[in-house]
Amino acid sequence: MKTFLRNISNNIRENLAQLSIDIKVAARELSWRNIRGLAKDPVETRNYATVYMIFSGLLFLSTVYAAFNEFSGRERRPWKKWTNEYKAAGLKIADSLRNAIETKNGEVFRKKLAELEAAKARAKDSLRKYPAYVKLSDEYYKLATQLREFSKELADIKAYDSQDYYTYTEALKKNDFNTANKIKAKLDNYKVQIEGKTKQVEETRKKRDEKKVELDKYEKIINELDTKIDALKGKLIVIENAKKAYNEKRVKVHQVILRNYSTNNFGEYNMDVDRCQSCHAAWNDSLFSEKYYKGQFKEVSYEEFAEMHWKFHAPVSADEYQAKKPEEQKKILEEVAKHYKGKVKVSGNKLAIRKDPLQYHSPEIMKVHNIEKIGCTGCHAGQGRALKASHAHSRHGEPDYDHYWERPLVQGKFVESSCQSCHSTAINLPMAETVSLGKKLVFDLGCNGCHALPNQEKYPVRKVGPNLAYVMKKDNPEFVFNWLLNPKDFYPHTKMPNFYLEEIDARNITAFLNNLTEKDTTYKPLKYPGKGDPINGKNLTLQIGCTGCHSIDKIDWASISKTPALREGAGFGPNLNKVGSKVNEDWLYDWLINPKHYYSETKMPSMRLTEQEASDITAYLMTLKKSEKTKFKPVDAAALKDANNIANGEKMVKMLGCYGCHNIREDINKLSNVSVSLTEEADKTTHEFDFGNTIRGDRYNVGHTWEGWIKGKIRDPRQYSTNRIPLMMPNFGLNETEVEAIAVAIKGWTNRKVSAQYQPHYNDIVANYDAGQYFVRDNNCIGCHQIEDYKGAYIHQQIPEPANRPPLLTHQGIKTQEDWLLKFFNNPKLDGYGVRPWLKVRMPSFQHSDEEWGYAIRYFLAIKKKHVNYENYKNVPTTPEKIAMGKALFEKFQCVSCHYINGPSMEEQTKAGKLAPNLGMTYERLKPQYVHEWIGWPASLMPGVNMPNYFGEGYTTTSVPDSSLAKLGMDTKAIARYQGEAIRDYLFYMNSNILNDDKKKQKPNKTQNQNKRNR
Amino acid sequence: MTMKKIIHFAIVVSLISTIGCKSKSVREPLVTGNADSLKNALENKGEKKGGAENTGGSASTEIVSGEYTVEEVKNGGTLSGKVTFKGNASVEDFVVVKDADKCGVKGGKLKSDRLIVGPGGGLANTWISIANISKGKALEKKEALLDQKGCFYTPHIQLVAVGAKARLKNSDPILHNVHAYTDEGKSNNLFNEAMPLKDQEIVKEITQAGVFPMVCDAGHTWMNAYFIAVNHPYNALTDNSGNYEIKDIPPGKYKIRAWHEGYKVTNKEKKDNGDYSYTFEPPYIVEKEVEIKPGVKTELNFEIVGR
Repeated sequence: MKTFLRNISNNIRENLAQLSIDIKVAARELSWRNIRGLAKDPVETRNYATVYMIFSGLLFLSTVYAAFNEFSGRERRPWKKWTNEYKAAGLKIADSLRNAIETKNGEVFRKKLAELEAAKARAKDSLRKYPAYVKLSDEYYKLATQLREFSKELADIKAYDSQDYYTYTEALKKNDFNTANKIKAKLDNYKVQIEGKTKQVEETRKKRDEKKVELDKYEKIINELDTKIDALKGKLIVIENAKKAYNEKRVKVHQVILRNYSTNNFGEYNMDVDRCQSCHAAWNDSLFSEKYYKGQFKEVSYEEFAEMHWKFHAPVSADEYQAKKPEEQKKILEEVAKHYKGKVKVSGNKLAIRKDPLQYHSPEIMKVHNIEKIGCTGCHAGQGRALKASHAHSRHGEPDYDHYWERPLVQGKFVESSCQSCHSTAINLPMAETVSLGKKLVFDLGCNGCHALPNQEKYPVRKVGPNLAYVMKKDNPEFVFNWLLNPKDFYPHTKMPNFYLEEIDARNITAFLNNLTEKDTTYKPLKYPGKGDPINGKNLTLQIGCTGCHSIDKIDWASISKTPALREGAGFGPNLNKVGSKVNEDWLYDWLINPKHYYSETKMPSMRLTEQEASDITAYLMTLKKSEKTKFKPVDAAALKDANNIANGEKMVKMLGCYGCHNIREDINKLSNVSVSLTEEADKTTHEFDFGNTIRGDRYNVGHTWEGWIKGKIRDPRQYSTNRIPLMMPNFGLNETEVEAIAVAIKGWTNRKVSAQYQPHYNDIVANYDAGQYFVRDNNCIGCHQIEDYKGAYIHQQIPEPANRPPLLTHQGIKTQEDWLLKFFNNPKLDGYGVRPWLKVRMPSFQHSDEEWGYAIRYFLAIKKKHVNYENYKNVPTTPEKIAMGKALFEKFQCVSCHYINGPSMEEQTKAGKLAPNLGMTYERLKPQYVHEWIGWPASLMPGVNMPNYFGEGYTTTSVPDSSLAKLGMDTKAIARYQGEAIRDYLFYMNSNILNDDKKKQKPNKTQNQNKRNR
Repeated sequence: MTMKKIIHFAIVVSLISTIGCKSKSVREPLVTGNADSLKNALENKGEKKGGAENTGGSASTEIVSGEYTVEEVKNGGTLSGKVTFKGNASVEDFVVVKDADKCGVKGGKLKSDRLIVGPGGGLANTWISIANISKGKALEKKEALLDQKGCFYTPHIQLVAVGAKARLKNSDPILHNVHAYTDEGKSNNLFNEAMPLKDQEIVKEITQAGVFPMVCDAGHTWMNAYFIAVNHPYNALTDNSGNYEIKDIPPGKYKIRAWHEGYKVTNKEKKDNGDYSYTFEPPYIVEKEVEIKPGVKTELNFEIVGR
């Protein structure tokens, strides 16, 4: 290097000397030229070496800098730093874990290990001294060597054989029979040799294996010790492997290539690349979970934090924060840290925000999504190809963000919105609670009344509001008028939103509805007989299942559920607590007797009330009145008759779109949606939204972002209203959880399609399943029943005795026969007492068509991943002997101690202390395989059930040993299974008279059985 | 000449560095699979706690002490005493609605055995346990026997060691079932065995600690009993005169708990079919602190006051 520098300096010095000479020469030349008046070309004599040197020096330096800048990764490749950080942190964690194991159990660990190793050495020693073992081991190794040799010889011969066979076939092709014949002889010879060798190898192997078994008997102790030592060292070995993996990790861009993943704005599938894992290297490394890796944090003041609106939402503005006392400030900081747990923490009087990308992704969802195939941006959005955090995230307002990127990173719960790209019809995604809640709320609040929503065609949705065609036969004008002014005044959690109507508009609408009722001639309610007993009525409402759908008395949905707008359980139907001030008794009585009389589309089913029961309930509900303190505003009766008012009311109804939720008049019902379509709402960019007069950073809305506008709109729809553009959307009075859930759901409604190869397999089972989930919500089946993991069965809390609760429906798909299920749905009493006569809670009569029930039946099958199939379950293959055996067991096990069978009088049986289903209907009700499984272990299908085990837990034992079956070679388990089958067969054939025809010993066949059954 | 050299050098350097970097980009497998298995190894196999971890339900968590290690007890102390009952000792009889003849019940009623008060107010069937003991003598795994005779469970309450066997027996000629729940809320089964045959026996192994209520679902609504599954030997049931004794206790300070199941019927509902369903009051629990000295018999009395 020194010589190099010296060379340069020498060079410069020489050049400078040359330069001074040149200057002198030039001066002389110039003077000479002046004298002679002649010019000689000066270029040839000039030397530019210095200039070249300086510029080439600059070029060199800039090249070095460029190379350094490119590869050092400080600016151009920031991901390199994080890969190195990942390696270093991983090694550190692994080391600390190893140290923890060694120091914590160090003494014990080392002692145990030493003991085991000593024991192993001892065992080995003593074995070596044992002559039989030594001999055996010698023989074994000899055989093993022999086997190896033989195998090698065999392989050699085979190789020659195939070589010659090739030459043979080639010769045949060329018709060179001379050569072919020669080789043929060779091949035959090989064949014999191969056979012989193969035999030899087999024999040797057999012998060796025999020796091995014997040897293992001796070496058993050593092997056991080895396993123990391995188990002891196991954790350390795993740690060492992890360390090795960290050391071998290479610094590089980790990318997932998504070919034709999703469509672009032109509807074409395009290719994308996803490089997120280059920085987020620890997403699947559990050592980087919070337990082991604390992350790197950067301190920021509250002012700075409040400015970072692209990432965080500050609860108060910076100025407000400054104005507060220190204790209050502390509280705010803690609140922020709690809300952004893991991302933000309190550090003194400042906040510390996490700056490293080495977060660990929650593992549950990763078990069903392959990131190496679908990448990260499918769910999290952002710019997958970018290698710089600010460009990759592209959050609006972030320093150096990519302004032109249309899909910025989605954060927090909004990530769940992407679930809809592939699971578009599912309404209950177990790992995405927020988006599921949002989709349910959209369905429950009747958003489809005014907006077009995606996937509407998959399930026929009914209007969410009641019938208004003759509403004054139900309510009175005064109530309707006050209700219209603000429904939330009467019931704070009613489904009906607040339209902020002026009194005059409310009166006009009342006048219009009053006029509609007066003109109607079709509906005439029954007359309430007027001898109802309110006390019995109250008992009935609490017993027969009214509270499965309605809030009555102490059962109040708003206090049970954190999201009262969700229509489930007691929040499904209207609150009945002030119903006496709302409706008149004739209508109520008529409604209870048959709800479909007033409105054929209503969701209220018939409870099959007798006239007396309906009277009692009417009497009770009419006692539930509003408090005296709340006064209704009076409505001018004369104004209701005014034709002008009526016409104005009709105009209002059309303008506000009341017909989106209510049945009003046929011509009005047919009008189109009053508001915009939301099917591609997520594709709107922030500048497409009108924020009205709201101010950015206003606490009331989250900021001028997509999320901020949508949330603000749902929270208070009229806040963006200005004098010039008045807005009409009513206020639903939702809480923050509900607002966020709906916004998350809408965030997924895009025209961007994910191609089929990345989608989960969509077949009839998935379609049936998703439609079924709509159905069970649309009818509130889940208010009373538990269906798989769907949160439901709210009524169970009201019924203490498990045997008296509505049944679990998870297993219906394998439990009940489809045609019986349909029969039951259409007539839950089954012309008698139903399945469990002692139940006080009633399965309602929904009066659905067979097509509608199809949704439920197909759903039950889909839960069990079954296609719809048509099968005759009634013909179980069996023999009369087996049925007779079943009968004997049935009697021995005293099944009738709890169950009853079709008998003299249903009523008598109900009172006979038998709290178990009627077995007489088994053959038409249940599927044979389920019955067998049930007899084997009832609690495995219905936890906590009263039916005891007769055959252990799943046919493990039997209390009735059977020597005749044992003679056939059956073990206990097989006998138990056979006995279970025998009982099942008896249950299926008990109604046929095959048992009475024992002597004939006929094999049951289709036609005979069906004729013989006394239905 | 030298300038040329320098320029050549610069070009060569930049070329080499470019090539060198290119050669680095080779595909490699994911690293972190090993780390995941490491976590499993650490979290699943590592540090398992004692008996307390396996217990289910609210009743059982409060009764079982944590980890228990066996060691030899030399010159241990003894704890003994008497549990007395104060209050109205009248207990409602059970109405027998089914199988009265086969059970041999006369008069259609059976006397409740949930409250047995002996001479001097001694309360039987009270379970005394040292709540916070962590080491001591080994637990004897004796087989328990539950007999169903005359439509009654005998004994009504018994202690069973975790890991011991429980023999269920039906001495009646009718169907009984032993439906054991893991908690008083009756939501989870411990087991539920049908016993349709006379003199039938079924052996179950008790694998978890806790208080397990048992009932018969075959129409005998009055039948009820308890297994108290324990994981250490410092437990006792009071005899008919209310006395108890616990021996070989390692010296030290302890929390002693007395537990009685409760006897009052808080809800008796007659169903349409003539059955009665009974709901009992919650158990009584009294706790006291005591110091056990080596080789000394310490006296500790409890008093249960009826609600």
